[in-house]
This record gives sequence, C-alpha cells and structure tokens, in this order.
Amino acid sequence: MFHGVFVIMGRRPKPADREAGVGGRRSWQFARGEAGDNPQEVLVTRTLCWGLAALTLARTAIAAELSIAAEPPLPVANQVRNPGAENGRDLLPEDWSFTTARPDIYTTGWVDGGRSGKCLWAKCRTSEMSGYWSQSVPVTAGLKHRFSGWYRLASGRLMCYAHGRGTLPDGRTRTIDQRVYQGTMRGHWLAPVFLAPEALGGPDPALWYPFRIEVEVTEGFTSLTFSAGLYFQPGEVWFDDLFAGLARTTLLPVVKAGEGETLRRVVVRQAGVDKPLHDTRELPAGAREWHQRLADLPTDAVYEVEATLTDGRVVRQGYPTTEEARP
Amino acid sequence: MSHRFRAWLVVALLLVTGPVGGAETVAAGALRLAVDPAGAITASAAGDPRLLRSAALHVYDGATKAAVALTPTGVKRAGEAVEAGYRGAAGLTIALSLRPMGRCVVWAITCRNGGPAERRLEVGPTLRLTRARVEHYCDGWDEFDAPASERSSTKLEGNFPLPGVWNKAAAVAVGLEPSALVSYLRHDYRPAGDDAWLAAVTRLAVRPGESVTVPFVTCAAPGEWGWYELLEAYYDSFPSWFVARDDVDPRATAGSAQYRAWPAGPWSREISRRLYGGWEWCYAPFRRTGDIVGRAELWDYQPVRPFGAPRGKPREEYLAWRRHAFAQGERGAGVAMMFYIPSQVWCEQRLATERYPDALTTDPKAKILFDTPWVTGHDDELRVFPYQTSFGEATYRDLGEVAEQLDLSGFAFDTAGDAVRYLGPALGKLDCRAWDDQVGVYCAESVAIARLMDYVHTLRKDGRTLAVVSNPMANGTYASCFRSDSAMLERNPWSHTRTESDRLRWKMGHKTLVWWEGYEVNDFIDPAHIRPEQLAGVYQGLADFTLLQSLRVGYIPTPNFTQGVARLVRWLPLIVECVRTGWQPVPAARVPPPLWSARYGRGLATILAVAHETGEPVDGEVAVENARLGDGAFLFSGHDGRAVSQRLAGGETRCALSVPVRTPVVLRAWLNVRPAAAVAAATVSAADGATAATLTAALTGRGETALTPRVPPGMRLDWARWNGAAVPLVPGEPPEVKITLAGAGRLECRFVSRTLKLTDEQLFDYPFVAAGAPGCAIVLEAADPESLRPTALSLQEYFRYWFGRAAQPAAEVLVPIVTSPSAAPRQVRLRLAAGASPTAALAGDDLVLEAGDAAALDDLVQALLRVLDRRYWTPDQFPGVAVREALARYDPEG
Repeated sequence: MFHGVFVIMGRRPKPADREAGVGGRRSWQFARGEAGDNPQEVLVTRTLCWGLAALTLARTAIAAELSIAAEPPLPVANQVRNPGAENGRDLLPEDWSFTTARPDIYTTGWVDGGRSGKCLWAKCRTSEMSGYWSQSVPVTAGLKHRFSGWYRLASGRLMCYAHGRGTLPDGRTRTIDQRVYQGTMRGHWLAPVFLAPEALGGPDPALWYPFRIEVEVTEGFTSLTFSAGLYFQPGEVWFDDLFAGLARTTLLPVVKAGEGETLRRVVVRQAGVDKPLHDTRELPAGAREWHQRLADLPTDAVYEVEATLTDGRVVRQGYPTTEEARP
Repeated sequence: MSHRFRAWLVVALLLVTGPVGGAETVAAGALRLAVDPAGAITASAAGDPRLLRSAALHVYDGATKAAVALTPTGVKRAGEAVEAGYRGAAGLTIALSLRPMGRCVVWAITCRNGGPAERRLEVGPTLRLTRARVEHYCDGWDEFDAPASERSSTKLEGNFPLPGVWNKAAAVAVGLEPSALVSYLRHDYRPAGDDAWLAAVTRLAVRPGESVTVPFVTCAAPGEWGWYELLEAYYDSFPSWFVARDDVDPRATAGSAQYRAWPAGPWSREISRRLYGGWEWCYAPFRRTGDIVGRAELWDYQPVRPFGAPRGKPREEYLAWRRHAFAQGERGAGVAMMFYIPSQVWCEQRLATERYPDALTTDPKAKILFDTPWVTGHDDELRVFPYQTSFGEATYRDLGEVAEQLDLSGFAFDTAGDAVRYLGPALGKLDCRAWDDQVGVYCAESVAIARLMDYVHTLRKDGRTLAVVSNPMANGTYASCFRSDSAMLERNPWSHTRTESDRLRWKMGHKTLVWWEGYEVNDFIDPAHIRPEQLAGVYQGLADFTLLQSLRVGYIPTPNFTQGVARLVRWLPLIVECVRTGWQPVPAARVPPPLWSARYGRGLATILAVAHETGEPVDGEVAVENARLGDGAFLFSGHDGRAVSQRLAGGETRCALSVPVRTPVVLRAWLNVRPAAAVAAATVSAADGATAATLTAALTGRGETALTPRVPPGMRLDWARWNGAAVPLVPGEPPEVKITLAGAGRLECRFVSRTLKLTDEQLFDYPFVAAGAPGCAIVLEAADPESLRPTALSLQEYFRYWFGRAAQPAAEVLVPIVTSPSAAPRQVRLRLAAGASPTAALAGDDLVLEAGDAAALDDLVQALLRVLDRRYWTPDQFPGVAVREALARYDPEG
C-alpha cells in the first residue's frame, strides 16, 4: 500500500486523440493516487497546463538559462517487456504468463478494453487460491525500484507484488516480497439481490486506477518477479501499462542569469505537490548562478524549476519535457 | 418409495447375499466385499455393479520407497467379520479385519513390526473402480468432475476423511473410521487406463515389537445426491460422533450468548434467553496463557506487554472476580459457561521454555511463536503439545481443577482445528505417529487436541458430562469436529465464499453449529459516504442472507446477527429447532433450480427448507422422496401452519410452492400415511397455539389407511375426528388414527398441552404486571424455598426486562418474591409436590406452577417463558443507533 504518497499519473492521450490533433495542445490530468484500505481513489483530479512549449523561456527577452539534468535521467527505462500488453499471439500476451495453483477456478485472457489497446485480464470464481499475471524483470542491487501500473477492479481483491529470492556471496538467501492490495465490494456476489450496488464501497469498476510499489533491492538480487492478480477472493480485474524500473533519481537543476540579469529566488516543484521541493528564498544580492542537488526524488514525477529575476520577471522550466517522458 | 430408490434397494439385496466361489463375504448397506482364500478382495456397490470392481490393501514402505509385497497367510470368518492375514518382509505382518458397521464396512488394519528397526509404513484400503463409470469425485473438500489426471490431497486440516466417487446410480467411498486418530491422511484418486483407484492412506511409524491398528471404512450408497449420500451413510453408521450427546448439558446445543453473559450485564439473562444463547465463550479467563488455574507460584511474572483489566489485579482479587463472573453467567444469566482454552496449544513464552521445554512444538512449517498480541494480549506465546508431555500433565490436572472450582458446564476449545507436527522428546511415548521426508517421525497436534477433548468428556458436573464447544474453522481437522458437542464458525455466512460453511457442517454432522463474527458492514461500505437508509438496507440484506444460509446448512445466528434485528429474531426459534433436530446431508426434496432444499430430521420430525437466492420470486414444485424419511408417506403444512396442498405419487409428496425473494419457505411434516398409496392428494394446515393446537387435513384417496400425526412438543393428542365424527386413537407413541378413505374427507386432530392447563388467552392476559406495577407476587412453596429462588428470579427477571428495556416508556418493575402467602391480589405460586407432574394452572386468581422437584419446576417455568414470548415479544435493541429503528421494524412478512 502506499499511504500518503502522492503519485502523479498522467492520462495519456489515446491514439485517436492524437490523430484528431487533440494532442497538439497538451492537457494533462493529474491524479492523486492514494490506494489505501478503502480509498475512493483519485480524490483530486485537476488539469495542470504546463504550456510546455512556453516553458523553456517565458519571454524571449530573457537571457537566463535553466537546465535540468538527473541521475539517472528521466524517463528511466521500463524493464517490463510488453508493458502495455499490446503484443501477443494465439490469444496470449507476449512475455506475460498467468500462474495459479488452481487453474480450474480462474479464467484469464489477453483482451481489448485496456487504457489503450489491449490489457491483461483475470477472473476467479472462488476464494480458494490466488492467481497472477507475472514476468521476471532485471533489477540493480542497492537501488530502490518502482513497480507500478494501472488496474480496473470489477470485484474481489487484487494483489500486486514484487518478489524474489536472492543469494548472498556466503550462500545465505534473502527474500523480497513487497505487496499492494486493493479490494472492492462493488460487484460482490451478494449484489444486487441482497445488497444494493450503490451502497457498496470500492473503486469504480469502470475506471482505471494506478498502483505503485517501491522496493529496496538489496545485495544478492539480479531480478525480481512482478506479479499482478487476484488474492483469495472471487473477482475480476484488468491490468495495463505496467512499469518496473528505478524508483528514485537525483535532480540537478542549474540556473544561470543572462547578461545584465541577476537572480532573486529559485523554487523547484514537483507537479501536483503544493509544498516546493526546494525554495532558495531571497538569494544574495547579485546572484548570477544557482545549482542544487536534490536527491531521492521519484522517477515517475514531473518537476519544474522557477527562477525569479531581480526585476521580477519569471522563467520556468519543466523536466522531463517530452511527452514520452510523462508517466 | 420412488421407482429409482426401490430398484436400487432390490439390487442391493441381491448383491449382499451369500458367499461366492469359496470367498468369505462381508456386506453392509449397498457394499459387498468378498475375500478369496488368496486374500484378494472383490467388491461391488449396489445401484451400479460396474462402478466398484475390487479392493486391495495398500502397504508401502517409507524407507525403501516401494510397495510392500504381501503374502497371504489365511482368511477366516470370525462372527460377522472376515479376517485375513498377510506377511511382508523383515518381520512385518498385517492383519485385516473386515466387519460390517451400519452402512459401512470397517477395515481394521493392524501392522505388527516383528523386525529389529522402526518401520515407516503407509497403509490403507484402495478401491479399484471402472473409470468410465466415475462421474464425480470429492476429496473431502473439493468436488471435481471425473478427474482426467491424478488428484491427491493431504489436507488433514480440512478434509472430511472420506473421499468418494459417484455417478447417478451409485456412490462409493473409502476413508477413516471416525474414532481413528492419525497424524497423516492422504486421499488419492488415480485414473489409469480403464481403471481408476480411490484410496485413503495414513502413515505409521511402528516401533520394533509394536502393533498399530488403524480402522478405516468403505461404503456404498445411492448416487442421486452424490457426496451427500456418502455423508449420510457415514453418519448413519457411526451416529454417536454426529449427534448431540444426551449426557451433555442441553444448553450446549443451543446458540451461543456471544459475550452477552461474559461478563454478565443487567439484561444478560433475558437477552441470552431470547436470542437462544445457551452457552458462553468465556474468553481467556486466566492471567497467563498456559496457567489456566492461576497458581500462586506462576502468578508473578513480567509480561511482554502491560496487563489489562482485570488480569492486572492481585491474584486473590482476580480469582474472586473470575468466580463471580462465572457464577453470574451460570446462575444470573442462566447460560452454560464454557471456560476458554486455546486448546492448550499455546503457552506464555517463559512458562513454556522454563517449565515445559519438552512440550515445545518446533514444526518448521508452522507458526510456533506469537510475538504479537494473541491469547491474553500481554504475553508472547509459544506453541506447545498438550499430551504425554510435562505441559500435557499440567493441563489435564488444571482442567479438572478449574472445572471443579468454577462449577463449569464445559470447555471452549479455540484454535481447535490444527494439525502441526510435534517433533519433541515425548515422541518416544506417543502413539498415532506418522512420518514424512522433511522432519522424519512426528505426531500431529490434532492427536493431542482430540485426546484433550476426550478427557473433558470424562469430567462431570451434576452427573452430566462436561461439554466441548470448539472453534475449529472450516479447515479444522475431522478429529476435533467429531469430538465437539457444538462448534462455531468464526466467520459470517458470506465470508470468502457462499459454501465455506458447508465444509465445517460436513464434519459436525447433525450437531449444532453457530455463526460467529457479525455483520462487519464496514467491509462492504464506505462509512463516510453511505446514507442511513442505505446502511439499513445493507444490514437487512445481510440479515436475509444469514437467514437463508442458516437454514440451508444449519447454523444458528448468534446475537451479533440477531440482537435488534426483527427479521432474524422472528425466525430464530425455527432455525434453532432445525439445527437441534439435526441437519441432514440428503435433502430428499427434489426442487428445480434455482431453488435449493435442505432437510432437518426424519419421519414426523422432518422440516424442509426451500429457497433461492435470485431477485425474482420462483414458482416450483418440491418433490419429497418419502422413502428417505420413513415408512409410508408424509404430508406437510407450512412451518407456521399455513395450508399446503400436495399430491402423492411415485413415492413422492409433491407440493407446488411459490418462493419469494430473500424469504425461505419452510415445510413441516404433520402426518404420516401408511400405506402411502392410500392418499392421492391432501391439503394440510395447522393452528399452532401455545396451550393447544389443531391439525386439519383434507385428504383424497381410497382404502384403509393409518394416519399418525406429529404431536407438537409438550402436547398430547386429545382427539381426532374424521369428517366431523370422533375416531378412536390407536395407542402408541404417538397414537395413530385408522380410517377408510373413499374419496375426499377431512381429518381434524386436537392437541393440548401436557403441562399448561389453561387457555392461551388466560395465560397471555394474566396480570403479572398491571398499570406499570407488579400485579402479583411470586410465592415459593417448598420445604426448602431457596431451592426455588433461581427459578423465581428468572420469572422476576422476565418482567423486569420487559418493562425496563423492551416497553416504552421504561419502568423498573420487580415482581416480589416471597416465601409465605403475601397480600398481593394475585400470586404466582411455585410449588413443589412430591410426585406431581409439571403443570401450570389457574386456581382462582392465582397461577400455580407445580412440579415434583426443583429441576422439573424450572423446566416448566422456562417453557412457560418461551410461551409468554409470543405475548411479550421483542427483538431487543440493535447496537448501532443509526439503524436501530429500521432493523427493529424489519419484518417483511409482517
């Protein structure tokens, strides 16, 4: 579970939107994902217009330069193969397999109706056994990794987890098992005869919701299994746009004043988070250059550096800046 | 009798007669086994002679990992049993005794190790089947359609110990005899070519010179109801394991008070009584897990977490509190108090390691340490083995001691269903040991728990055997369930799946089960957003589902479900009656989907429940298979006496029913007709009063017939009339009526109470309380008046509760109890008279309640209170204020 973690998830424009030219004007929806015990997920949705085309410089007259780099650079590589489940054949998605000790109680599929295109689907008719779509992904020991994706839950209880067993040089073994659960009572088998559907709690079965797991990968691991499925309850779930990769980055923003300019204040923000990551307040008089190292920041976020010049003019820069970099 | 059932019986009779080809035969029910002189066993099942072909003894050596080659040493008859001997290698001999028991054949397999080393064996009967005849298989937990590949299950925790197969004509099974205690049990179904093999095997560790006997069973049954046919054959063959013991306090077979009497509060007696709480789960009445007595030398220790109240009290103060709490529950609330123990498989960590190190359980696959709050909350607890260990010795001594100190009715066994492996030093003394390749020789915890339950059944209170109530969970071992007098399922009816409760029901047989937990609606709703009327709807829906499942599979809903919920409190007396009558695995009531049927009892005790779980009313016909219920045919009314029309044909009683949404239809047998063919159609109704009842049956048929009516409990048949004319009663228990049918006619039977010698109106109008003040005094008329005081208190409490909690506005009304005639205008006289039959009658303005002894008088008063509940009815109060009114009014049947 990821209590209290603010996750920014952009809804990608559908291909049809792009073809219609809608994508030329980027309108991003940001969701506050708080997948706790019983969240009415996504409490706040708001449109944040970055005006990306205008972000590099607010006014052409300003000579100040803003540059942002990161270690590792964003976007980080997604280690999941076939993450959107768009590829497959013979009715099976490539690179994904479904495992359960009780295949007789599961129905699974590679189906249409994903966030875009295809997705993974599983349905279970009893509570006797769990079952998961999964694949092994490479990891780097010593670094924190993120396993995330999107689900749509019609009924039951899902579990997504990153897990594996590693071996230390001395032969001892270690395990990693990091999980996230989400249940819903919508679609419960007592509805509608015994329970009115509108009285039941849980995520809207028609909507996609994000999930996220962070794992500190310790020595001895070179890969982990990423599994997403149903956990000991009858139910039905879809998964799409899965991600596994580095969870944290170090942001390296640099601001340089142009000829005749001086800096008054620099603020670094994470989109969707009210409190700035860093705020210089009033810089010393005559400041012409500023740089900072901001460590341990999520890789699935968008950042903005805002520099205010002494004369009151403001310059902003977003990072990452390309559409593909958006989570 | 249906044609199908009759044909099946004929085949069965043909098959069970006579030896074949010099073989010795043994037959039971629909099963026939024949052992030839070479020790080979042929087998057949009536109904489908091709389903079952032969049987064999499976003996496998765990050391060599190979089947043991057996040489027959002789076959002989010993009374009704057939005995066969076999010799294996290295001094191993096997003795097999096949003996009929009810509808089963018991296989007593004795392994004698005459060799110098311990033998690790696997033994059990195996049945050879015709694969193509197998349509279904149940491994004791799951049901499968004719598996195409091997199915093997080792769930000692969970499985009913009788895997079986069946088709539409016949069913066969193999498994453990109920008394068998084993540490390992595997159920195998293995298709191979044209054959399929069905086996139940256990593993034994047999010391040099030792003989170990394990009783197994095989059985055959009709096929129509599949798995339930096999359960019925098993229950019928070994009834003492599956019916309530008659030497145990009958309150143990009612529902649970579910903490309404632990600790007791101001209204405990009436809330418990009205909600049928007969026994209480007295949770952890000790300070230190493992020391249930509270011994001085073990009292002072440093808990891992702080003591809570009342366990933080000084010892004498705590023990006094405990004595008072048990006495309040027993005498004040009238509830059988069950002293909670965690089946004595958990012990406070320091106590366990310092005093009982030989008892520590070290199963590498089991949870053996609780370092989070568990039994008492303040202790860390280690898993221990309470049999043939130092902790076992202490436990046996302690159980007897607290039973005597607290005058207990029984013990409540929590965590009663596990079978983790004990590997400790006491293994050398233990029997029932098994082995595996992970830990070697071990003994299952279930063996120790079963022995502890057996020990409790040796303890006595007032001449009665102490009760065992338990919490084994659905996946508890058969050994614990078979030994429990009643049990809880620590779940609600919708936990996990609709049928999780069925598995526990199978293992409890006809005995009492109760739901535990409660509605737990926050699992379903978003409390922050739901509206009160929506919330009430959720409770109502769950209550209705509870009602249906309680009747489908025989569970009593506990106060967390019933208190304040009018719907369930209205149905509760019938549910309790059903459960105490005994759930029957074979409903014997054919209904079309989506209807389902359930049956309680046999003969004239039969109650049938029919319902569905869809959103639209369902019309359908229920066809009762009369031969399953008894001789002749049975006629039914609605459970509330509502008229039911029925036709009789082909051995069935057929009733057309319209089954509403979320409401069961329950039929009660009222008349037994012999011969069945005499009656072609009937409409039966009943007026079921408190002090008298009337049965009316409009019958159409032809010929002489004997009619036996159901006599309501506590009543006798007063008279019968056929077409208005009195007909003689043929003495019997119950009496019957003989008439000659020539077309249509009308039978009326009148029943009167054996004890209540007054009318319903006189009883209900009796002014116990008038104008908010006592209208009478309770007078104790006995040589020792104090012997009647507890009974008088229950009567007094009845009205104090009614006027103080149920009636509005509330008033404190305490009907006085006196030991000599009072000045009160009316007196309720509790009177002991030597040799007197229990009776309640008016004597002028007085109500005289009389019996020959105090216990009989108390029974009379308790029965009277049940009757008065019709007049002074209330569902009590639901704890949640937001929905209290809605649930108190919720009674869709009006």
